[in-house]
Amino acid sequence: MLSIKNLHASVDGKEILKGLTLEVPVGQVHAIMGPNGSGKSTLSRVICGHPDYVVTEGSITYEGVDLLAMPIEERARKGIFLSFQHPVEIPGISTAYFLRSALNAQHKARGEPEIDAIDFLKVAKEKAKLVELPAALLNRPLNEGFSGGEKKRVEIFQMTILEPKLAILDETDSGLDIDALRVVAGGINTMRSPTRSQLVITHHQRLLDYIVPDVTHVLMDGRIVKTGGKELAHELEEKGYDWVKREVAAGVAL
Amino acid sequence: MSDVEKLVDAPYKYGFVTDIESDTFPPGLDENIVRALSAKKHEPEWLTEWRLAAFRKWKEMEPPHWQNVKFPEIDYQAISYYSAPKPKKVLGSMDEVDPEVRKTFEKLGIPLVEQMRLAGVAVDAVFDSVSVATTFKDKLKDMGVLFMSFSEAVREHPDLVREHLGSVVPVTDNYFAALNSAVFTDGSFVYIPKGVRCPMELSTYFRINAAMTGQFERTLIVADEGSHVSYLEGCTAPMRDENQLHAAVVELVAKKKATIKYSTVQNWYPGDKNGKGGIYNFVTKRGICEGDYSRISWTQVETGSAITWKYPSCILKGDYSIGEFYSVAVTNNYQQADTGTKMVHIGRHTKSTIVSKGISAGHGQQTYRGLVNIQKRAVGARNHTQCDSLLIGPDCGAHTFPYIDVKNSSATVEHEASTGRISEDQLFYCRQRGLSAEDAVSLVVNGFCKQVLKELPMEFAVEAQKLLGVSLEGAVG
Amino acid sequence: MTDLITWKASLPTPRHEDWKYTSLASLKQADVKPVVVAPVIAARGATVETRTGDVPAIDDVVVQVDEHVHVLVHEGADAVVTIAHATPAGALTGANVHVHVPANCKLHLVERFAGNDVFVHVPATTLTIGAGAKVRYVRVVEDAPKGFHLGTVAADLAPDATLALASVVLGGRISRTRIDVKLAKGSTIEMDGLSLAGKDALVDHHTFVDHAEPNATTRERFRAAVDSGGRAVFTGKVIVRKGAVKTDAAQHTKTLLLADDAIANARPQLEILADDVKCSHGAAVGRLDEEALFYLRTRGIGPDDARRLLTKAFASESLATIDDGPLRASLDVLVDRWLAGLSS
Repeated sequence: MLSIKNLHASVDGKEILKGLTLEVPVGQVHAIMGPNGSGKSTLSRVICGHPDYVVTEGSITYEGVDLLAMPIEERARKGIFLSFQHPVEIPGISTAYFLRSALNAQHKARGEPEIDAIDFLKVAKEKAKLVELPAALLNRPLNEGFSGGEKKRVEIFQMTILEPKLAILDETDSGLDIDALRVVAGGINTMRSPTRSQLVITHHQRLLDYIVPDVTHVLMDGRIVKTGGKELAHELEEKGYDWVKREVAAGVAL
Repeated sequence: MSDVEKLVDAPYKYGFVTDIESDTFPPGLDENIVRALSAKKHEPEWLTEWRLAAFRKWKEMEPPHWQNVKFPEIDYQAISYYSAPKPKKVLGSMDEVDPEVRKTFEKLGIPLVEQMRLAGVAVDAVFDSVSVATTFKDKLKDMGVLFMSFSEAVREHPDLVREHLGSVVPVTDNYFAALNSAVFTDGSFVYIPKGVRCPMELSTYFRINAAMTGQFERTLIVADEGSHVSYLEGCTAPMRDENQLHAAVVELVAKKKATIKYSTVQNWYPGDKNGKGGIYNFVTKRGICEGDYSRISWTQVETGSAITWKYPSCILKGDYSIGEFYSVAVTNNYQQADTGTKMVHIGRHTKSTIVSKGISAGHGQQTYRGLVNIQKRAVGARNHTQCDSLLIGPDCGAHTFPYIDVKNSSATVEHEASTGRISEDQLFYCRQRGLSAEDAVSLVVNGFCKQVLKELPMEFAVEAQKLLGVSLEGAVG
Repeated sequence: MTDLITWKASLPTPRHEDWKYTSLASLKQADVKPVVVAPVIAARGATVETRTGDVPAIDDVVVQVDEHVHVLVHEGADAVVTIAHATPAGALTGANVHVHVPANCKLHLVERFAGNDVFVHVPATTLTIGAGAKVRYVRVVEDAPKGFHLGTVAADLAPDATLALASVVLGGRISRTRIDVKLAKGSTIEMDGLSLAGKDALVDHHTFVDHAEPNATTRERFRAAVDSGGRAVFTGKVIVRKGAVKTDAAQHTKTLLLADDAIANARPQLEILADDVKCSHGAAVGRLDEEALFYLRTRGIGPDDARRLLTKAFASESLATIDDGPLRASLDVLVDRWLAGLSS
């Protein structure tokens, strides 16, 4: 589904990704772990086409098509969803209105029929329950004055409605207490299917207790330095990133 | 160029010139022109004299100069002060209206007849300076509501007109008000009798036509005790190169417990993307809350004109009277707008609310200028002002000049202003969810303006929302 | 030396936009004579020199005096300078003080103004602040019911410099303080102002902050309390010039009207010509909170004392940033004295 080869990307002239290679086959959940500053958020933003990041080398293909040539919204309409680490506030625009606009923009682009306000609200209320989101929140301006937990739940709520093929979850667990984490992870797991893939970015193993990955990668200094199964997360939690660092230095992992 | 900076290049959607014969005065202005204009309209002696007095005052006045608005000197002698579609005969119904004129309205997306029937809106269409069609008059007449062209009102209700004309905006108020008083051609007149709640939104669509013709509208709305009226004004203008002057005067009088809601969507030709052409819109709008518990509410969406200069204001004379001003102004390309309001609190426990939202893109320059004046007698007066600006691109400007004068210690006045831009993060977020850059800007701008848009009557709000999107096309991309 | 008649004739009238609310008509009637009065300066870490020549670089009401006092802060110093101006009765005077602060220095500057009976004081202070330098400047104008104070401050900040300015004005027949600040890249101005306009006093603060370069920060907080017949005027302009991106400017003004015939005029102004900026201003005018007054009275405090207490609390917030203990204590005394003189 997603194939990244030798990706180099920089922001403000500073290279963050330094030859990253990653394959995410359809139907799989991959976790990307790494210490702060290793380039995890950069990776998620580059996949979605954030204008601040310049790709200097390498390629990203998605369903066999060159992703880098596509504008941001095209990628979204083709089924890529990013759950933001810091969701943006849009004053004056209700969460429901925003999401319906986004959904219809995607439907329109794919030649599917648009959904009217009433049908949308029915679905929205249903999905809101899934992440224990009070329905009243849908009428409040998007993310404005939402707590950290509410913002994250709204992200996952949006994901369940937009039904992306590739969901990238950037530090979705940050700022969540254990109960909220369980709810959010539950929402994410409902999206798991043989036709969809997920890329879970985190620097805690905690989230991966709830969302069990098929493959775990370690990202360090802009490259994937180690790849393993779900047990790799636990190993990292126990031994810390220094352990990987030493292995890399010794040339073991590569 | 950043994503936010590119939405500006769409050509003006409503630009075209209707080709019909015009009955037009030669350019120039002197006492003879004023007399001829008055005679052409079969006006009574007192009105001719009133115009002449205004003209004499105007001649002594200096054209104003504003700090943040720049434009070449206007040659008032190069303007023709009268232009009308040739009256073929007195029109009995819409079907008799010049087909060219009707086509124009259709191009504007205002299928006049359908809209009147479907929306229950009475439309007094002013084409150039003379009323072409006035409808729903009979139904309104049954309730005692007078809604007609100004000229007609002068003929049929001279006492009402004479009593209120110039009572809110004195002839000498400012340069353009004086000019309008001398040469106004037509406009609307509304009178709502005691206790009547006007059953429909009263609406007028204005169009400027014939080249080089100044447009001098005069509107007078009188709401008698306990009455209620909502008035809509909207306009678009054809594309052309010469700058056109528009100097309208609107006067509102609200008696005891009366409410007047005045909404405007202004979308005149703003000039091209290089700042060539466009309308000069120098308007004087003012209302007086004469009686206790009266209320005047101004709502405006200003997206057009090369230069806008207007301060819809309220004189809160009656005790417990309320003044409101809700404004959205967009300046794109080389547009300039200097707008705001004056709230003059005279009566006790008077209350005013000001919400101003300014959006600047391209080389647009925008100024909010406001006055909150609490006079000595205004015990318990309150004002809240919120004034926000949104900047799109590095070459535009937003300026805020509020004046707060308080002479009564029991008053509470609060003013808040903020300036910021559409963040790249907001755009990225929206686009990540599948919205196009243009739709993302439109969405953020509509959210920014929501407080004002929700004050508009339903059918207008939809139009206004679309207009914001159209006006900012090309500002990002 | 200034020629009195020409000088009075040159004074601005309320038709001048900057002087709309501050009429100098009464000043023109003041019986004063031009005199040169040298300020008294105590300095540590700085040298004081008296020179002749320069005119202050500010376009406002000025008095031409021959003497200019220069305070030269030593390189690398952590300097403390106190300047006291005492204007004798019947004098028209205007000391010109120029403070030069080299890069990366620190300066704690206090300037105090007092006068007797009828006088006109037109002092000008210029501050030239070097890159990365940090200056704390407290300016105190003491009450003088018959005195006129027309002071100007012009501060020019080099990149990354910081100026924290507090202007405390306790009255005067007319007391106007104009503060102009020019900010360079990365510099910061913090301004706190307190106008206490007692009976029939007019206190005017007029500020102008020029964001000419990127990344500079402005924080302005002005408060005023006005008694019977008094007037507080605030004009605060912030201009953000083209290219001055990442400007962060916030301005707040709050005025408390303590008597029915007290007047407040506020003009916060923003002129913004760059898009990547964060600017805001707020202005509020009102009177003491009835609920708070009620609360104090239920605790047994009389109405006048309650008003004074709440007004003191209001004023104290403007002084909160003054961490110089003895200075703060003396300001508290001045504020208390002003409060004691309030009409009941």
